[in-house]
Amino acid sequence: MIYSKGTAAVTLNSQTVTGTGTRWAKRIHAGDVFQLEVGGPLYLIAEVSSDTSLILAAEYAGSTDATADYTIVSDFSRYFSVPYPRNQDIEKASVMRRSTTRVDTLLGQLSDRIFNVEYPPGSVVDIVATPSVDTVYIGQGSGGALVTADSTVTADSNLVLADGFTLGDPLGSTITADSSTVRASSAVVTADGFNTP
Amino acid sequence: MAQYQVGTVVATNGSQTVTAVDPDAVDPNQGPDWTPTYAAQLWLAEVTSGDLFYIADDPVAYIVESVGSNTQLTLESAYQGTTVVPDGEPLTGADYAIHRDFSTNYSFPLASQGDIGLAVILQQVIIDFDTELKLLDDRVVALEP
Repeated sequence: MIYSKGTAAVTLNSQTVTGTGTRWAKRIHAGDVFQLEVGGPLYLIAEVSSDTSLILAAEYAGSTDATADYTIVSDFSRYFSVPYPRNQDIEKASVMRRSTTRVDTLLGQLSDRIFNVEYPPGSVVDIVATPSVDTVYIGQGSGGALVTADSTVTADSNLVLADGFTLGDPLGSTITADSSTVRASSAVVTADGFNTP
Repeated sequence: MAQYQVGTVVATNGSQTVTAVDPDAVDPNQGPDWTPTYAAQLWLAEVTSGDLFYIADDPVAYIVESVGSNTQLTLESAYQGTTVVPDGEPLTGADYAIHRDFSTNYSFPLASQGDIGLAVILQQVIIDFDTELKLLDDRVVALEP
């Protein structure tokens, strides 16, 4: 993405750039590249302070100019650095490929955090999603008991523990019931084991 | 892995079957004795179920359900585009691509230099992103108090 709305005031030996008629806050971010003229020196943007103020990573080395035309180029997205394909890219497909791979990885990490949640002792486990949760740890971190996939999640959002289900033991440690009262809707872990509703 | 684009194909609106066109065959519009003798395509070896098929300049990608032979494959859903009528000398159908390169976790199609119809790939990527984001969003909504 290229942004060049408004004008920029640059000062010799200063890192601060002040904009007039600019809306940098939402459109520009650290890591973008600032430039006054095509072919001229490139400055990495260290911080975007507001719609009209940004800080370069290095001091501006050109002549002071209060109303300079400028160009800011973004090659990566703001939060997760997903590369942008651009029309003038010779290898657009390669950039698209990197973007796709990056999103694939990010979604995988996000999904792991959402679907494989570890509940500390005392947590109330409320399983209300579609029956796609197949790993629920109960107890102390991932050393806790594992409710295995043969327990089912019903449409009314209850975790129904399967008959004779086993406490999985992924890391070789044992669960002590009194430190891990966990409720999945109305299924409760007690000292006697799991009670199903 | 690069797209497989060898030869040309015939696809019929409303049909799930895609057939390869033999460039050496006589135009079927020119005589009743036309018998295809396909040679060029290696679909059995090169294409697998789950790959994406699309015709050049057609905006929709279809998932390959099965590969029947080197000259015939079946799509998961019926072809929605304009029926391809082979013609010319040598006999030519429509250019096509079978996309075989997918990401690790979610099987998003990965673009490469030389792909035809980059926009089709991009569209499929966005559809897939959208679907996966919806699944995560549903899950987060379910977790919220």
